[in-house]
Amino acid sequence: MTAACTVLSDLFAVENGHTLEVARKHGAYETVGPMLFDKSQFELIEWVLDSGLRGRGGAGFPTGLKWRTVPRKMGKPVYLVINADEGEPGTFKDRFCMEKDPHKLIEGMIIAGFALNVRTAYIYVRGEMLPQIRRLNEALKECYAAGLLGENIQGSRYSLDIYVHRGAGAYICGEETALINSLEGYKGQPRLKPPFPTVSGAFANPTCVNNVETIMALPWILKNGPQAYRQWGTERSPGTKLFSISGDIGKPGVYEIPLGMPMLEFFDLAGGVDGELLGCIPGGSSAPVLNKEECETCTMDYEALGALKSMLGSGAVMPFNTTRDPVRILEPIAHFYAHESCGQCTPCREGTGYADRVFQRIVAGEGRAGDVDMFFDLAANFEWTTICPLATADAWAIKSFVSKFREHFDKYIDASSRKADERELADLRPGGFM
Amino acid sequence: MSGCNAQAIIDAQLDLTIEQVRERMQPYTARVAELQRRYAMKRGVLLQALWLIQEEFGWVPRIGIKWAAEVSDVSPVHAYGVAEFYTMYRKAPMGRFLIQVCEGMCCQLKGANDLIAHLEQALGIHAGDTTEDGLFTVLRVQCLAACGNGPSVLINDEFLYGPGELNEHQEGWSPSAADLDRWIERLRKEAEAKPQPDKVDSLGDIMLDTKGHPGSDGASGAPLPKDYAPPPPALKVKAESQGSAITVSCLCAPEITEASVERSTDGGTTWAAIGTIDVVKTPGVPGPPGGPKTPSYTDEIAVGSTAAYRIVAREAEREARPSAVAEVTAAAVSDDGEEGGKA
Repeated sequence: MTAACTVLSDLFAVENGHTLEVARKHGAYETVGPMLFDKSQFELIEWVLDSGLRGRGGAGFPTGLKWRTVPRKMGKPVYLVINADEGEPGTFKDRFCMEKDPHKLIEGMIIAGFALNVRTAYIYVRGEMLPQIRRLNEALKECYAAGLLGENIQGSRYSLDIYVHRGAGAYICGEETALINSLEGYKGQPRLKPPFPTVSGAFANPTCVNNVETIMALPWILKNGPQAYRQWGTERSPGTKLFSISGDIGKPGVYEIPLGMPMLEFFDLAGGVDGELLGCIPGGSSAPVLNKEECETCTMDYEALGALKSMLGSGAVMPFNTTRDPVRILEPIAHFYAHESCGQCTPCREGTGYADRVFQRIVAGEGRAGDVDMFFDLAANFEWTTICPLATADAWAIKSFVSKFREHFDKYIDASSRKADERELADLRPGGFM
Repeated sequence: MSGCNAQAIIDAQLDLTIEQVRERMQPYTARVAELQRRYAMKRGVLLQALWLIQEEFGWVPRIGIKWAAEVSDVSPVHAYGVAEFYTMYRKAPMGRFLIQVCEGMCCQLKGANDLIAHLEQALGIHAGDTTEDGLFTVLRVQCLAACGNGPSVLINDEFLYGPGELNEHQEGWSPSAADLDRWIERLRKEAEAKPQPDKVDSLGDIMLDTKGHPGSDGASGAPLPKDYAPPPPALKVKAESQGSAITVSCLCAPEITEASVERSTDGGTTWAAIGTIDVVKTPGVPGPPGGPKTPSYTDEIAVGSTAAYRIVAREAEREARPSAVAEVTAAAVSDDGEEGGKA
């Protein structure tokens, strides 16, 4: 590991790091004072752009560029909404952050809010994370009592209120426009873009939606300058990132590493792969799977994974070993997307469900010749044909698994072809499989 | 929700009138008032109001949805659609202890299916059902964002990801069948000792006296003053010479209206304004509208001499602090068009 990078994780191991008292001893809220209030909004935005910080929620869009598009001076209220609706299978970094260091998030929100003319900010936390919601509310109360939130923060002319909004269990609310709908009291169904939320979002006002981890990097960047942040990472993926690693690995957990680290080096850091590596999902279930050869050559940054037609996503790394059956890994993924489709667009609502049912059939030993090829056809019909990328993520997962681990799928089909006669009879029964 | 008793639901729905619900929701008045202050429009309250209903009743009956619609200023049918959309609102009464086990891919690698099978066997029910004594409900759910402790298990709203108490996290710890047996035993004892469960604050103990969203009903928060932040200075000032012609350029915030260019020939001791640029008319940088601008100004100095430039930007009446200084020496242009000095 290169020089210890603790942009985000410096308080994770500190006892009671979630309390204001301890966090302040470790430098929390040092930026909330002249360091922030003497800067103009424009300087802050350009700083973030120069630091090269990219959105850590999955898409990796440069944060500074997103901020530039917020119309700060229109006279309309601008909202900052923190996306803490973490639910991508494999990802658990945001939960960890809110639990261990809520004050870094709040400090980052004050910085982002100041830069973007925000008077009211919301933290949208997924409904399952009630313990983390309690912790955030506790931290917010401490901040109000200490004059770090509310009106005229620390004697300045800036005022900010932060409210926690509890979601109610819908993966799709992690998509920013669905999240805004959910915040407004609608079903969490994504909206068409444009208009982009930065121009017309919550209650038709400009709304900047940022991930928890993105915002948590801001205090460090403000303290140390944008160039210092570039000491880690690569030219186009600077800085550090939290990776949540689970699956067949020695020490699953959340790790902060510089971007651009070779994947195998990261595995060693996390206790090494259990058994012999077969493949790895590098960025949450939406990210196309990598086979062993690809894992051996790739580095953990946006470009290297993009070049392999996969993605860094939310940084959820999930290696699996040769004792695993890729069909059994893909099956829950396909089921997940079918379960979480919001039902708004037909290709996704029908397509993800259809794919799921075919998988159930294959796993149940009733696969048919041609099923595997049909997945490509099916995926092509719901990839990029919907409002949001949920169906596309499903299509990528299916296509990558089927093309890289084809022989495992064929084994199921071969085994089940022996039962073909019985199955044809079953198909004639009403209510049979498809 | 599978496995619920349809007749029980209907009975429960019929037993309540909206007046009774309003009566029962009286203790929540302070929280409702606080929530209504927090959003630009009351409908933002809806999801939270449904949580309050679930906190009071243990599930979300239709008449409760009507109450949530009232306090959020939306139609009952809208509220009903929303309540149906989100999976965490319980559409039927459930057991006192809801055990949710993740069936996502990471947790399946760690044996989630075996764990669920064990629970089903230990409690004598299928996932989705409630035990006869009304104590336990088991659900298979999607990712709980605790994959490092897979298979992830939630007991009511608390994470089981450590060997100690609920919510006590231990890195890499995974619940085993024996752990679940231990917890079932413990919860049974708890139910015996305490026949009535404690209510758990479904909004996680929010502050009750914030000033709210400026302009909302009951809010007293003042809007932000327009000029709370200092005016933005020009950034990235560059001066380039093309023979005696000097081009001074910079990056200006979109709100800048005018920039005056200042020159110093004594190394930055005295500054003289040499001209102004109407930034409003300068086109923005490529990209979405409303982005920053790159105004430029052309000056003449004698070849071989050195000058320093800085830019003072103005946002309407307010003057920003001067920009950083760019120094340039005017170099002669040779015949092959070689460029001169650069700051």
